[in-house]
Amino acid sequence: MDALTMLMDGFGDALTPTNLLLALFGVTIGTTVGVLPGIGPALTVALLLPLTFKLDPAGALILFAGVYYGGMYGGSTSAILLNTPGESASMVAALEGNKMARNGRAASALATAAIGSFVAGTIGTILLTFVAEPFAEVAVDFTPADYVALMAIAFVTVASLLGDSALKGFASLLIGLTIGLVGIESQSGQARLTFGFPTLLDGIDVVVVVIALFAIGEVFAHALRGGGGGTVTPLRGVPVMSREDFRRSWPAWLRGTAYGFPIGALPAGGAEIPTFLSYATERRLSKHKEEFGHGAIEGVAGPEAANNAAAAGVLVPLLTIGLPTSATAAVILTAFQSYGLQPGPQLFSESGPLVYALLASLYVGNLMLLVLNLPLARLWAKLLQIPAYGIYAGILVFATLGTLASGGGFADLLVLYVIGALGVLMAMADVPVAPAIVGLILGPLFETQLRRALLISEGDLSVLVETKLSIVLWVVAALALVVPFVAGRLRRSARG
Amino acid sequence: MAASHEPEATLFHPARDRRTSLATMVLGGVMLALGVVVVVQATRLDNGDDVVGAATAPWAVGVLLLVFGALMVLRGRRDMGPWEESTQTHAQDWKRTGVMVAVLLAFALVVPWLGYVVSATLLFGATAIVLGAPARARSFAYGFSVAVIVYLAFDVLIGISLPAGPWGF
Repeated sequence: MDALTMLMDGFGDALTPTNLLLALFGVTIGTTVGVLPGIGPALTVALLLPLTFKLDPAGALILFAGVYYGGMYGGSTSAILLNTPGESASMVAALEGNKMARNGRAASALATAAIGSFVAGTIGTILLTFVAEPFAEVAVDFTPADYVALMAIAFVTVASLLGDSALKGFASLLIGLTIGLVGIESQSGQARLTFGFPTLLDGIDVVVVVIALFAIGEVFAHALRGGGGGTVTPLRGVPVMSREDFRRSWPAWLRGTAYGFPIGALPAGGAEIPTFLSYATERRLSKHKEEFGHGAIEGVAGPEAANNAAAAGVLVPLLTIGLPTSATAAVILTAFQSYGLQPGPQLFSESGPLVYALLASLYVGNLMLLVLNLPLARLWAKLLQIPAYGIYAGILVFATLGTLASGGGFADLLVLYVIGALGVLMAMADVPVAPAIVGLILGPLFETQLRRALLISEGDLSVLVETKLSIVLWVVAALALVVPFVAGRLRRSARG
Repeated sequence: MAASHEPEATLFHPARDRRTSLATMVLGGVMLALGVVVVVQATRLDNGDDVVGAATAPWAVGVLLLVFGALMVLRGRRDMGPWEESTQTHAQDWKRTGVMVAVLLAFALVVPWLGYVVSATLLFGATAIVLGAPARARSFAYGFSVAVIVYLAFDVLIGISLPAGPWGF
């Protein structure tokens, strides 16, 4: 019941005019960038990070959470109408959703995606509300060694699960870890990888890396691939669902939620796995198997619900143990840090009202998103008419803005461009960017916790497997490393 | 089973062509070079008396960079074979990319002198034209609108000061 009272107080904070306005602003921006190809929620939150200088923590986090949830809704709109998902977790929705749109059923596809996102987002947020604090209470007893093992799991799973090749995922992770090394090493004061440039002594700003890898990489890869864009399927009328659509959608929504939340909540991360699982399940269970591949509504409803439930789930490890498992979560973590707040078990005891205001704003944001997405769907569809050259020119303007807004000059812009060049290469090589962002943020934390563990044990490495929990976690990390590899081998040999 | 998975595979991996495998090899090469730099850096750091110190992380990351860089090069080479399909990056794509790099560098150089609004207008307009915008004057007009909106939102409304030119914006 305690969580309920806290949540009620949270609603009190979230429903003030300022915070309502910030939430509305956040979900609107989030939907916009979700719809537009090339810009995602991670990049947007990174660009908005300078706002933390001006807003109070609750206001800023409510805004960022709105962008995060909004991005998930917007991503499905472009997946359905354009067949080029705005963000990776909407890939599966593009499979059936775009087929539905081409058969003239865009309105039903958008409706099942929006309502499914609302149902899953709300259930996910309810679970988050009641799971988070008990989980944080367990996490209070985690030792530094446990954290080391947890982060090892996050490294392995983020690298091997995001994107289609584990090798490329690890390559991305390592690039992020390398960038994370740059700067003064906190304990001994020695400079690492600064090459004598004073700009690099403080390390490379997360915002710069996010912008460079996501935005610059995206724009130049677009130019090198010869430009062009997808074909937009026009949308007629307001999204509505027939009784039949509804009957076929709701079990898929619930099953998608059941996959999405727990998998998102594991420190394994990402919304991609549950969307794939949901799609496979719906295809197996459907009474209309012949429709799959030609526009089956279950194939949109399930994965979209899974996607949004996972988005809520990802907030569990972020808030309770400070472990981001997606690029957006990693950027939101830096927003907390810029206020001197460290997400983790203590967050609930030290800043309880802030956390519950954030959770309350998620309920409000979800409702706003449903209202924004159903009647206004045609407005969002119009965004897709913006020609590609306009979008990409705009992305470059915003990319440089991020550096200038944090007070950077010529040298900082050059750092942005150099890492951007790396981003272009990664995009061309089909290497996912998210593991690099997670590596960049978790790398230094991993180092700190490892040092802390060894300081307690006076240098004895056996401390890393001293608690039962840490042994279990190391086993999980090892499994996460081996299983995808073996599964890939089996799949390949089955195919060959 | 395998056959029914085919359409998904092509949809999720649209970039399976030789250019992707070439880029994989180049990225592997960059990682090898980075690995050498990081390992050299590691040898110059001092761990003191600690088991894990300032040099430990660079050692680990550097060695892993070398290993995975080599694996990336090998993967790129392996994919070169079966991925016959070749979408060429044409000479005009390279030219376009070169112009965009020049535009970005020019932006970094002029922004302290011309201020944010004018520089961003030029950046937007030039990029849009390079990427195929049909009307030049209109591209700069769009760029000016974007720059003014950004300036009003960030500098005036939020109060994050952006570089001001001789005319104050």
